[in-house]
Amino acid sequence: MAVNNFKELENQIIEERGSGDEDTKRKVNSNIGFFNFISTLIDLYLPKVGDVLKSMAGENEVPNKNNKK
Amino acid sequence: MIINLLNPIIVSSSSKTMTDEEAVEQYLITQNVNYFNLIYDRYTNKVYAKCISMLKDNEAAEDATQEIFVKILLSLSRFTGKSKFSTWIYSITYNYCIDMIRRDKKDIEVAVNDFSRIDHVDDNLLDAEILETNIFRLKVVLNHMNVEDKSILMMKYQDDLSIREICEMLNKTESAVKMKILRAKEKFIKIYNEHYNDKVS
Repeated sequence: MAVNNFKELENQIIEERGSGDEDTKRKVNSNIGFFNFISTLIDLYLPKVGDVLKSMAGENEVPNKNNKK
Repeated sequence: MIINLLNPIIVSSSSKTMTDEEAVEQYLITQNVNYFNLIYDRYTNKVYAKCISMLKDNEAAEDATQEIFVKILLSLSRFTGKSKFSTWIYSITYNYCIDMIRRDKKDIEVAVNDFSRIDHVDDNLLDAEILETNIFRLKVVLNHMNVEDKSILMMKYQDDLSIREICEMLNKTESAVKMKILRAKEKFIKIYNEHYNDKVS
């Protein structure tokens, strides 16, 4: 089999990595948790914010009879 | 989303034999973090090895690996399956590292003026000589190369990417990629010859 020291160098770097792998995994997972939390908040509250904005814009206001011709 | 959070975070043992593409699909459907962890476990070392080769610093490489996986997570829905999943991940990794180096202006400029001597060397012979370079020396030479030349050699020799895959990754034509590879090889040999007495080619 032909020698490929680029791959050997890659293997050497991976062997020297040690526990960095698990630390980084933990950080990535906490990022995923954070993103899931934010998307849950958006799922829960965005429709309500929409309702509040609609009511502020006067969606449920009774039409003024004086304006009718 | 709420339903997904209440679901038990269990991934069946068959998931270990899943292809990358299937794991991505399942993650996008279920949002189950274990499918993403499957991808992380498969690629973390490769991504890290590329980061440390490019950034030359252990801590920066770990930080970069973390940020690259977050980037992958946020872009998963944009993976179209047009290229192999590994190629897509490597592309994000190389681009991230190149941007970091450019941003910090840490790149090395290597002036290569005399290519005439190398032009006549058999390309396959040149490949063999580069691939057989002693690991310690390989590290030294790569550390003296600029990030673009180094990354294109890594795509070719370390990731076994085809010219077509490199073209897609760099968004360049086939002839442009072939020229970039040739130039990178020439720079590799020039730097090697500057550092060591047993000259290549």
